[in-house]
Amino acid sequence: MQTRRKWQLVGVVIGLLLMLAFLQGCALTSTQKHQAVIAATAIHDGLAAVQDGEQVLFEAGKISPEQHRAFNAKLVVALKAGLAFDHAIEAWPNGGPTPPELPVLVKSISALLDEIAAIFPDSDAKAAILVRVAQVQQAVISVLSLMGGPR
Amino acid sequence: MNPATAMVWVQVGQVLVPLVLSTLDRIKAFASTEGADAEQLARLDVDYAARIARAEQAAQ
Repeated sequence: MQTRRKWQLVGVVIGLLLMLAFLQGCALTSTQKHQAVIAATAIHDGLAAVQDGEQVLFEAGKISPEQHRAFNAKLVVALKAGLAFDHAIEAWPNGGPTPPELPVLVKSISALLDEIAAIFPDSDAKAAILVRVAQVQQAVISVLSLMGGPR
Repeated sequence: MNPATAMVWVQVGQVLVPLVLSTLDRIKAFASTEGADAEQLARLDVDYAARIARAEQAAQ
């Protein structure tokens, strides 16, 4: 009887240890998710800076209406990819693996920014846009390193 | 309980207590970060929606 009770206690201790390991694992995943939120904020702020910077240049007459339209047509897609990136993080269950769409989305944002930069001929306006594009690219690199390097 | 068994339980306690305390700390930090992150993502979503509408209008 006493031996049985001892084994019950050992079972309780093992169960407790497993529960603690699970909780610690959840907290570890949360750290990764938190880093993804920081990266999402950096990507958002970079895209916002690209949009606002282009608007200032357009209003100052340094960008033609055609370039402005072409720029915004590409930017819409990049902004939607940024929003999809946020949604993927929001849907990321605690303790779950990193959503596979995250690196795909940041790569598409990166490619779209290259296309956006190509819209403008070499000028001060392009240089100003490129500075902001570089800010987003930096965030993209940090996301890819968070996901275990470029895939 | 004999002294040897008691000693084993003391040692188990010495391992478990710091582990429980550190897990509680992590859960507390996790809960506060989780809430702040959810709020931040919600803010970003709202701003994205406004920016997408603006860009779509400018693209026409």
